[in-house]
Amino acid sequence: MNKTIKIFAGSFLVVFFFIAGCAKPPTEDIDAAKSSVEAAKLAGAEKYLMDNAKKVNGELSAAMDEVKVQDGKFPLFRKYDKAKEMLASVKGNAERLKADTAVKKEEVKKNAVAAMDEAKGAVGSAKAMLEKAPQGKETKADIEAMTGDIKGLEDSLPDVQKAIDGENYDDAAGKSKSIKEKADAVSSQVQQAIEKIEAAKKAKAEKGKKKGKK
Amino acid sequence: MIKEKGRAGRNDSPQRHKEHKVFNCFKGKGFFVTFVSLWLKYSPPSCFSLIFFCFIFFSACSQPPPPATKLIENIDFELHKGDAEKYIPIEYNNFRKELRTIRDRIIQEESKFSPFRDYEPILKNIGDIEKEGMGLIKIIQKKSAEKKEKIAENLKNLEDKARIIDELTLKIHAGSYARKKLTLGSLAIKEAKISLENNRYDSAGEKIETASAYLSDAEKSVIPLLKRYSHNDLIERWKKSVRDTIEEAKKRKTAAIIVNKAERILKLYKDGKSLMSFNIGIGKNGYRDKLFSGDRATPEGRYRVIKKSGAGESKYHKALLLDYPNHEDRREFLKAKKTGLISKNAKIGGLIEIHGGGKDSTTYGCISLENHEMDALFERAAVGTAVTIVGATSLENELSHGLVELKKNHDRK
Repeated sequence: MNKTIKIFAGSFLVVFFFIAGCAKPPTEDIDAAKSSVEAAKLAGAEKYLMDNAKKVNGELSAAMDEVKVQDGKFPLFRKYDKAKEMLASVKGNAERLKADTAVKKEEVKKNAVAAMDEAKGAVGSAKAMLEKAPQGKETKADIEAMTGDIKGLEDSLPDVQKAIDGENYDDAAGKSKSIKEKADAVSSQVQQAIEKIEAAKKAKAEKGKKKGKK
Repeated sequence: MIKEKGRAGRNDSPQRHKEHKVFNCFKGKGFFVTFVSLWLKYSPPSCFSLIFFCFIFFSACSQPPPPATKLIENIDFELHKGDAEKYIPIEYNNFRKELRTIRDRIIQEESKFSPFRDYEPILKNIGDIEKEGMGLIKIIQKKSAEKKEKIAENLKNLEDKARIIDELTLKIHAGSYARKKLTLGSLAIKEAKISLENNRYDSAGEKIETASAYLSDAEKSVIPLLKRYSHNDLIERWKKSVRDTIEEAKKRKTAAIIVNKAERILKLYKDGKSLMSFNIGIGKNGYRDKLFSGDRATPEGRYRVIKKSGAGESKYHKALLLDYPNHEDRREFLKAKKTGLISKNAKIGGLIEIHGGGKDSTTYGCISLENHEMDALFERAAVGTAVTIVGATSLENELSHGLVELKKNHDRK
């Protein structure tokens, strides 16, 4: 009995140390997790979902630290199970982050394109209003000035498209907003000029009527 | 946010680590206890095996949790977000190195057998790095606020400049090129403001540079004209012309008409005294001196009324035709042609009148008045009446003021 237990204990220790000594660094898991994080970064996670990207980066660092902890241990006591779990979680989260980034990016792009369309529309209507504005001695200079304003707006529209093409959606949205505001301001100036001229014409006509009565 | 997370960090105090060592060391080790007691029962241990098992036992003890570096990592993230790389590159690099060192030291300790682990010096270091990090955050917050303030100040200056140029371009009818550049500059200012609102200072800085370049282009197209109205010698010459005209008319006991383009005023003098004053419209490029036909500028010089066109004889109510071009105008025209300032095919203009049609009109170079005011002037002016047209009679004129404003704005930079 005594001998059996000794053999049992001895065998147990041999098997225990053998198994423990077999633990190898989870190289494949590390590579997979790292490439997932890298893919999320390439998709623009740090730009569009900065906080989430930071979280995933932190998780990867923690997992890598855990691997290092195990690497630093006496070979017989190395256990990478926890590191593997952490790396798997990093991989999953990074993949989710990549997908979320794509969604967010698309949303931002959509907003930028919509803003550009609005800006284009505003410039178009300002131009149309200006073309309708009465041309006369009183308005010629103002119309020329506003034509210059609209030319400036038209010249800046291709920059918006360039920003969208370069995936600088914030820039594109900012440009579009500025263009729209300025175009709206020109439209309202044109409207004011038209109203002013119409009022002057009306006043002149009324004056003529009064003179006629005399 | 950092403070809240800091509480979690402070839980990893040395005291907590000690308690953890004492109470948790013997928890959940039933397997080892059973295994060792069985071995002791059936096989009295040798000294070596006793030491071996004690070693295994303590090694397997529940480990105290390693100190948390979460707070420092959050500080690092805040520093990263706050552009610490740009504001304090050396300090931030040192901070990151220290953070890495701490993490490596924790890893080193964690790799040791638990009885040999000692996190206390690390905990102390973590505290120091936290303090350092918080200090760095304050520095970058201060620097960032300073940068924001500077950008906002630059933007305000640019907005002022755009406003001045806007008013000037409208006043002098600077044309569509200047307006186009002004519009592009104004758009860049708006974009810079949006970038500033979103704390994108670099982007705001770039937009400010773009706006500055556009506004400078617009400015260049108005400055030469403004300089004429700020030129002391020229203004003195204009003043002399006005004085001489009034004096001569006084001697001859005739009327004299003085046109001040900067003030857009026409005055009728009789016996050296101002009788009437009217607001006027001038040419589209009226602030310039007329040089050739079609330049839409209003001439400057001493003229006389050579013809009076009454109602029905003029397209613009009534008109007083001037003897433009005079001898000096012809000389300047030929000089400009010779020097290539104007085209060789250019012709000298003519038919410059003082007429009705309204003071708000922009003419082809003539001087326009409201019809009822033209009636009053027409009545008092005769063929031969002296008409002197000048840019300004004082340095205190709107155009000169515009130049001063632009210079002030430039100096504020």
